[in-house]
Amino acid sequence: MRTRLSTMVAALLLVAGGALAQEKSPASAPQQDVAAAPAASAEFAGVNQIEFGYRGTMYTTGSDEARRQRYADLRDGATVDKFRWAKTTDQYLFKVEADHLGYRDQRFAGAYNNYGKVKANFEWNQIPLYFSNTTQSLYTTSGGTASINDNVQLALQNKTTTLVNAVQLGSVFDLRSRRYVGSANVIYSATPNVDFKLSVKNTDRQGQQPWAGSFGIGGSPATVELAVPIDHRTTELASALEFGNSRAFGKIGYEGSFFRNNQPTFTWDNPVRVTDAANVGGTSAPAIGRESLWPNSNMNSAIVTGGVNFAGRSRATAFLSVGSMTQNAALLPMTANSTLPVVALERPTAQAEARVVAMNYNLTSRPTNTLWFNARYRQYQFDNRTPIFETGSYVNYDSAYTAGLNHESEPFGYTRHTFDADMSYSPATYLGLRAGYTRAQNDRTFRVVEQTTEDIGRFSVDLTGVTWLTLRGVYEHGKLRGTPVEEAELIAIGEQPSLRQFDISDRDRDRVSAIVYVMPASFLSFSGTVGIGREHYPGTNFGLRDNNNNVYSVGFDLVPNDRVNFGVSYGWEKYTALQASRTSNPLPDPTFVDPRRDWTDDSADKVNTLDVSLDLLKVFPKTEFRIAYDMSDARSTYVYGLAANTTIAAPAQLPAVTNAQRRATVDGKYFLTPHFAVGGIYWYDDYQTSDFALGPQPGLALPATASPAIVMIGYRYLPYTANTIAARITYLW
Amino acid sequence: MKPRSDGFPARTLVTALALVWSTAIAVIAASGSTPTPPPVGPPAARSAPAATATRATAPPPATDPAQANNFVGEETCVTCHEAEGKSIHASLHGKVQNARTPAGRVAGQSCETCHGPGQKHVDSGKKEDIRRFNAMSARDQNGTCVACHSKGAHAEWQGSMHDARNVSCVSCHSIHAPKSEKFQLKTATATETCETCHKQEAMKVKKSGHMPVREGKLECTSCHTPHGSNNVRMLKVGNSINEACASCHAEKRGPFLWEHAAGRENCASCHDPHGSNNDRMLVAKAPMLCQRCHVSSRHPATIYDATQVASGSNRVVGRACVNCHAQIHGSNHPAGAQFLR
Repeated sequence: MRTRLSTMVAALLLVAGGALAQEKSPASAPQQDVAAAPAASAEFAGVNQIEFGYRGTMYTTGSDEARRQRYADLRDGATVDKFRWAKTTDQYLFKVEADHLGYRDQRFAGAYNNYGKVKANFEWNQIPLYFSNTTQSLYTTSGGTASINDNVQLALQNKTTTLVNAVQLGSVFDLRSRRYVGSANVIYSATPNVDFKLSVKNTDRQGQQPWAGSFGIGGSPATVELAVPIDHRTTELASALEFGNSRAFGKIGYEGSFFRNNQPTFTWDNPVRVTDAANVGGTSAPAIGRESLWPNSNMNSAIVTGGVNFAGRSRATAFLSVGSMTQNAALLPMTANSTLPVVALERPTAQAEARVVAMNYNLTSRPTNTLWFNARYRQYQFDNRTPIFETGSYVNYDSAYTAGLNHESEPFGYTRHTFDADMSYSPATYLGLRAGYTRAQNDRTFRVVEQTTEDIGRFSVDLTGVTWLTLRGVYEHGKLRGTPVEEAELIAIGEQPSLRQFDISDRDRDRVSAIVYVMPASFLSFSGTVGIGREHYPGTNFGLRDNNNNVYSVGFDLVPNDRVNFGVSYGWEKYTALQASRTSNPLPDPTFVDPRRDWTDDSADKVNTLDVSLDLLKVFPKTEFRIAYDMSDARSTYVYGLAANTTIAAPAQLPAVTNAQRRATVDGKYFLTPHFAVGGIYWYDDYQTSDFALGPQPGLALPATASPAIVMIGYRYLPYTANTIAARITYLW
Repeated sequence: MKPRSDGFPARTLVTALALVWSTAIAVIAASGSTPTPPPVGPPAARSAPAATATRATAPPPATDPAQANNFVGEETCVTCHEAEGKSIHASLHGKVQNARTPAGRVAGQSCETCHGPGQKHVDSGKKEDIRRFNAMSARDQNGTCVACHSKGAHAEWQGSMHDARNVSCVSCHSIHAPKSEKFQLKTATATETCETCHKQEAMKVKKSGHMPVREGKLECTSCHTPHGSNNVRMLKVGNSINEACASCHAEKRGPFLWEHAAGRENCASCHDPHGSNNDRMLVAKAPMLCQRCHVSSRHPATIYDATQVASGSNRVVGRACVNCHAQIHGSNHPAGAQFLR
């Protein structure tokens, strides 16, 4: 509270100082209130058009048609696309758009702009997510329940069949979900200086997604993959009243977000149990598992912000947002297993709440043409007020009851304070040299590192405006340090005492990035970028130790005129990380403190990216022609290492994970008349992948023995090769 | 647990800086020296609308006939610059009905609102005698634009990351020859504009785990606002990275009965929002990602090697750790202490 008060007083001092200075500058030209321009979303009338076509695709055998259409609907058939119509006068613009009509990824949009009075737009956007068309499962999902035929369950329970055989009876189904997003925005300009804004957005998500549930560590199956139902809706509402002129602006507003889930609970059958059993192999065997899915929640915020311009081309802005996140869903019983004792819950609902306060104070000043200053203080407080929940007793996996096992929840909260200061000096018109400093302090609750502080220094060079050369580069050095850890707390939860979770660990970070454009002639440009990052985590022996990246790209563009555009860009990325652990049992087992059991994982992710494109617009009479080739080729490795005097068995190294995507596009259009064009498009898509975790497996029940540990649904990363041809007619008016 | 200060005098430093700045501004203001834009002509021309200042000023008072006569009017401009005149009136900048636009502010002065008075340029015919954006520093260019674009989406431009790096408005926008359907950009889409500088992010978007950007369903501006914001990383929505993510992924917002600390603080601890070669856009593959924090003993500390893969270990294949710990973003179940329910 005191911090907040002091900060607000400092901000008021800034405002007062600037206002005072402004009043003492009579030599300034007389001010005339000039209303600020509307928000920058200038819609053009453009050209009215509509496109009719027909599309067909040939896939090679075994192609993953779902992955190729992951976020798009590319089914064969007639298409109506790129509908654009607008009417514009000197007083208003009205515009409608439609894409992919009749397909799962269709989109509709409209805008109305009565210049200087009202601006409105709406959009309806459908985003499909196609996971797989080869998924197969014994389960049938209805509402929030995934069930298996009782006869199959009984056969498995009585061991008259095996899981390996039974899963073959599962139905093949499409695993997909979709997101429908409807949004509308209105800006009413009551006066040239005053706007009232209202926006509404509603996102409806339905379908299924890959999920899993477990019945215990050692059971068979211990885990079942499932298609969890998705049926939820998020409504976002924002309103604001805004004032602005050439000297100042102010805004008060409200933002709300309301999440409603029609399937808050998910229940799934145990494949090998029709009924709950009190004792199977020492633990209870439940007939069903039951999870809490995402609970209904609300977020509400009130916002006030404003800014004022001062002498010396200075501007001070202040922002304050006060809000809350709440969730008070009814709690499920501890277990769905009827053979286990009922555990009394200390409260019937979650009572989850967080108060959120965000502040941002910024001061920018350009007292001379060569100097520029900026200072910013930002604070974000996530005050988690959820009461601690204690279980008393506990049930794991709906199967293992432990009396007196008390788990205590940890309602994490944090407050971030960030102070930034930057100064820029321009010794020449097109050159900027900037030095900056950031101090970031993060105070936390319920984490082993209560406070971290990071100091970051940075320096950048920006050379722009020279006709033939643009150069931008920045270097950052950061040092993050945390308060001492009570190592006994780590040992108490079974963690190695010298572990530090990487997000709160001491960290040394260096980053440099640069981009250069060279334009030896007006029609030719070359570009190059480099990005290098190094993160080292001192003071920790386990967890993430190093995290590095190297990113380079080169390219050139040849644009001899506005009808020809040829470009090539190649990029190479390498991300590496080193992490460490120790294979051990908890104390008092001596393996817990035996360094000979240490191991490391050295991961590397290398990617090559290539983009080539050639546009020929009316080079050949009445034609528009485009050829493009895009490639992204990635290879990831995870290499285990052991201590020199290791006592654990050498690991069998994991195979590399590869993802290689290629797309070639040939797109042509011939204008029979200025209003009527015919054309075609050809896409070649190729995706090759190899993934030890998500690639093809020997079966759906693994291992393929009498006691599989996991039953899967066959959601895989599979390759595809597709050739798509589309013919189209475009009408413009 | 109570937070402890490490003794860094942040409040003192901020207050001291504020006092120094206030004093400096007061001295500058009292001295009567006002910063001047780069000279574009004879002294009389400078008192024209100071487009390089952060505030737009009115045309010079009519008491100075010479200054008043320095404006020639749009009709004169378009006698040579016909194409630019047409393009302006096709855009929002040229809509006379809107008193906020260059065309609507002062009758017939639309071109000179931004380019300054044109008399000298008309008399000499030299391009140096009028304000040309490609001859100005980035901040001088921007001063012209923010004289009007100073609220709404542009309220936080000054001091933003792009402002700090001397990115000019005309680096991305074209007033006279835009190529996009909206935002008056130099490229066809906002994403193409961003990709000219942000090559690393552009390459990430092309990876197998990606948001639907290349499918045309999202753009960079779906999450970011390039003009500055009150959120970090110029995120458009919310006041933190998590609030921005939760605007679409509200089911992960919580708060939950049982929280996953790393996810509560920052979604980007585990996910790369621009793209990754791992499932679910994770920064590394599970279980290795989880083992960056969970070392402990027993199965979190086990080496999951090719032998485990061959035996179909449920801790490696498929969703790996999340096969069991399904509610990894937080659980509302009484038995969800380890996110198993």
